[in-house]
Amino acid sequence: MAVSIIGAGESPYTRHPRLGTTTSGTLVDAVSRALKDAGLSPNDVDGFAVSSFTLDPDHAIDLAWRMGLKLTWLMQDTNGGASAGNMLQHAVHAIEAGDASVVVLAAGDLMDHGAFANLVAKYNRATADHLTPLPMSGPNALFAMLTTRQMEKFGLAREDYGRIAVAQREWAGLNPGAVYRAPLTLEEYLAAPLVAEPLGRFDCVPPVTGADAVVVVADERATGQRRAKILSTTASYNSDNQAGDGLVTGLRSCAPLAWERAGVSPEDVDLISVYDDYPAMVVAQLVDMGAVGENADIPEFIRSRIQPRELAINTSGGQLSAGQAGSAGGMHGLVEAVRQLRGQGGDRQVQAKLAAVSGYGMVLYRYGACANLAVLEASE
Amino acid sequence: MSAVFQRCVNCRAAYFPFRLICSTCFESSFIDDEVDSGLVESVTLLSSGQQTATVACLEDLHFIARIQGGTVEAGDRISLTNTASQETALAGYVPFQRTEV
Repeated sequence: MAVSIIGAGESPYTRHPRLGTTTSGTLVDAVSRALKDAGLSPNDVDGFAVSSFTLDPDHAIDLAWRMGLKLTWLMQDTNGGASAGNMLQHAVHAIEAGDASVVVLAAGDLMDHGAFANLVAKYNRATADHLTPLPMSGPNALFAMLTTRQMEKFGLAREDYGRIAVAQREWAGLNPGAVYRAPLTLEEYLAAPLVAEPLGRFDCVPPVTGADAVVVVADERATGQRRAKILSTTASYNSDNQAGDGLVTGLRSCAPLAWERAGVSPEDVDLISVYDDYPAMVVAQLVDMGAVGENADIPEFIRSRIQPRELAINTSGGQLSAGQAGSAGGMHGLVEAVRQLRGQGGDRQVQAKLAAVSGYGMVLYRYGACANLAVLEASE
Repeated sequence: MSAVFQRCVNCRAAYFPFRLICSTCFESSFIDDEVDSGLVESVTLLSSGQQTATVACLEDLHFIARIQGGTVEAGDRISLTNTASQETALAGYVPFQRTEV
C-alpha cells in the first residue's frame, strides 16, 4: 500500500512567545493548519502521534481528547530531533496494517528561557548526573568538541561551516516563517562571539516556540491531491553504544536500506532537509546518507554545491535560521520537504521530484543516538 | 583524585556513564572502579572562560570534564577528580553522582 503526506502546517515560530502561549495550543495550531492544508477536518482523523518536551502533565491522549479526535491509533514519541522520522515510520506501518487511514503527526514546544534551561539540565540521567554539575547548560560544548574532531578529520575550517550557515540564511531570506531572515555574511559569521570554541553564535540554533504537523494518509484517500509519496523510512537507535567519536551518525547504518527501498540513490535527490542542530552535523549526515563521499573533498563540496545553493539543502533556512522549536526540530525539515514537493515553497520553491529528510537527536552523553532517513517523491 | 566508572563483575568491561546491562556479556551486576588520569582528546573554551574537555582513558572510556586549576591542550595527560574545586592542581573534574542504578 502506498502512503503519502497530503498536508503540512507550522505554527509560527517565535523567539518571544506571547503571554499565555501554551505547548498544547501551539501544537493544536499546527495540527489545524496541516488539516486545512490537506482539506480534511478532525473528524477525518483516526490516527495521531505527538512529540513534545513540554507537554507534561498531558500526554498524547489528552491532546486527542481535547481536540475531539476519535482514534484507532495513538502514539507519543520522545526522540527529539529524530521524533518526526520515528513517528512517520510508525504511521506508515499503521496505515499499511490497516490500523488507521488518516494520521496526523505533530511536534512542538513552548521553548521560553525557563523551559529551555529545564530541558537541557534534565535531558536524561547521564546529563543530570555528569554534565549539568560541571556546569554545562546545553550541548554546545559537546558539539564544539565534535566539530573540532570533524575539522581535523576532513580538513575543514570555520569558514567552511560559515558557508553552510550563510547559505541557509539566504534560503531563510525567502521564507517568511524563519525567525532570522536578514542576510548574513561570512565576515559576520566569523566575527560573531564564540559560544564554545570553535562554535560561534551562528553555529547554534536559536530556541523558538512553535510546532509542526503533517497529515499522512493511505493513497486511496489522496486521489487528485498533490502529495509527497513516502518511498521509504528507516531508523537507527544507539548504533554504536556511544563508543565512537560522534562523527559517524546512525544514518550510516540506516541510509543504505532507505535508498534501496526507495529504489533511488542519493544522486537522484533534488532536495535534502538535513537535521541541522550544528553545521558539523549537516556535514556528518550528508556524508552518512551518501550525498557526499567520506573521501571526497568536503570543503570543496561545501564551496561548490552548498554555498551557491546549487544543492537545495534546508531550503527553509533550517533550524539555524528558522529556529529550533524543541521537539519540532526534527519535523521542521519534513514540513519543508512536503511543501517543496507539493509546490508550496513560495519564493524559495525549487524544482524537486525527490527529497530526503534526515532526523538526528537525543544526545545521551557525548553525541546523538537516534537517526532516521525518509525518502519522499512528488506525486499526484 | 580519580574519576569513578563502572566495571562489569563478570567480564570486567568498563563503562561510563553507567549502564544497566553489560553489552559484552549481558551481566547486570557492576562494581565501581576508578581511574586517575587520561589523555585530553579534544577541548573547548566556553564563553564563560571555562575549559571543557573530552578525556580518553584506557579501555575506551571517555569522560567529559571541566578543567580546573589551569588550562590544557589536546594531547595533554591530565589527572581526573570527582571533586569540584578551583583550589586544586590542574585536573579534569568528572562529576560523580548516581541518582539511580
